[in-house]
Amino acid sequence: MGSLILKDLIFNKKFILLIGIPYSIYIGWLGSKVVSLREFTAVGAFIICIVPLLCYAREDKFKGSVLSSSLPVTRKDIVLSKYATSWLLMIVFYLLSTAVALVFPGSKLSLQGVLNIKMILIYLLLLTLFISILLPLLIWFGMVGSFVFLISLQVLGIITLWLGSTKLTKVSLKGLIAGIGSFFAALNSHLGVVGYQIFLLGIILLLNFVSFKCSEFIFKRKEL
Amino acid sequence: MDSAIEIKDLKKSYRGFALNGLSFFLPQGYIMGLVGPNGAGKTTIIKLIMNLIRKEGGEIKVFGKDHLRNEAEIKSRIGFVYEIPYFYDDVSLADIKSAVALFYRNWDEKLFLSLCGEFGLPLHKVFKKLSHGMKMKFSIALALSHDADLLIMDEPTSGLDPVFRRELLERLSGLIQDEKKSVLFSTHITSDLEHVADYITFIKDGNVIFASTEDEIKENWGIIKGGKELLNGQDRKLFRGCRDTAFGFEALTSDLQEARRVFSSGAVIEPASIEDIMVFMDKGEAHG
Repeated sequence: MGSLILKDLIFNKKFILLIGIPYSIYIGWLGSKVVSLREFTAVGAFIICIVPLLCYAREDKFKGSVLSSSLPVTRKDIVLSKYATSWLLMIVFYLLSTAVALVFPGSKLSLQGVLNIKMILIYLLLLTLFISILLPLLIWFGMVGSFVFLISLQVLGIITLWLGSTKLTKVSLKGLIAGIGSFFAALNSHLGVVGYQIFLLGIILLLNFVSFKCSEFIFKRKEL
Repeated sequence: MDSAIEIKDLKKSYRGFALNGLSFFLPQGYIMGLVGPNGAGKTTIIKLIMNLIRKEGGEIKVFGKDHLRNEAEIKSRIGFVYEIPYFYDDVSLADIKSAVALFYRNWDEKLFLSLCGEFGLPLHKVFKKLSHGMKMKFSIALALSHDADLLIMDEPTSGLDPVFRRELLERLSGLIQDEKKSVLFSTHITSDLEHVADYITFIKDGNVIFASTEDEIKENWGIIKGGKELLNGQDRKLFRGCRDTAFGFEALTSDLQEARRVFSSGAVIEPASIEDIMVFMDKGEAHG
């Protein structure tokens, strides 16, 4: 699997240097300006997870999966390496953007505020949520297909909201959204407790595992 | 005889195309040419062997082992060249080489550099700056640089100039001299096969029409030319394809001996080239 990670890094090194690093510095700069740690974390996690996804969008563009699948590895190895490379890049860029956010002149963030177990777990959870949904989609549909799928979901969401507002459905969207909100609020308030931290770590690992298994299932059946 | 590739009853279908239980055997130490018209199924067979697409039935064994259960091990002994090389366009040849070399224990850097020198490959250039012929040469250099026991090449000679094409074919012939290495390559340039292929597998519409040695083809396949007065319903059963000409008819047979007996006088009978077979099977009206 190490060879697959290295291969992806070699093929994407220019892209990583020209896009990933400036991106991270930009997030860091943005982070140094904002007062809300929550905003920095949410926006930062989303932008950072885009970098590995763009690397795999490049693979889709150049049909790199044909090359990977012709090398002496299994399809399972290929999928596993995609997750490993994504996490490697996300962690490196997280550290880089955080460092920039902290050292930038006039930064409102503090080291203790950013680098503590609670914030790291929230960051990991957000990265997991993004990557575990988007990576299988990218493997399944490719770059264009993923965009079409996500836009379709948005349209579906708009229709659902409209249906909700016209009281044509019995689903209480307000209640659903409030439920999700209170889940995160409860999580946030309990994150100081070790038990909850372990529980959250378990959730993160489980989500990654489930996402990996979905991606493996998809890629093993994909015709290249 | 140990097998390099053994395919039994292979099935795969797309809309408007199907491999219908295709079988063939490539022994170790030989070169097999897959030949057939466009859309015959040559690339599909290669993709199935490389597990780029999923088979719907049948068995593929490479070096005597199931190609899925021993995928990584088998692929470490295969050098591959595809009709369209799938490398990142904006990456230099040197970087592509570095990435690919990581996967092969037997990677021979000296050999690779010597091949690049011989082929005139500029390693500093990005892939998209190369012509199609140069891209193929690079792909071939990579495939030849890790001491592969089996080379699988899909249309490797397409886009190559005649001089390099001949050099490549001679190199392939040289490779199998140790009787351990084997080559499977597809082509629609039939003259390539006549130069090097020990076995020729002719595919049409997803079926193997024949899988024979060049000598067997010369012994069994022939072209019969003559006036229409020579033809009757019974004789036509000998034909695999037949067409009218200004002087009578031209027909393809896969039973040259019988054709010689039946048309002993009045017809010209000569061995068929692979190109003749391809043209007749594709265009000639079967059984007249």
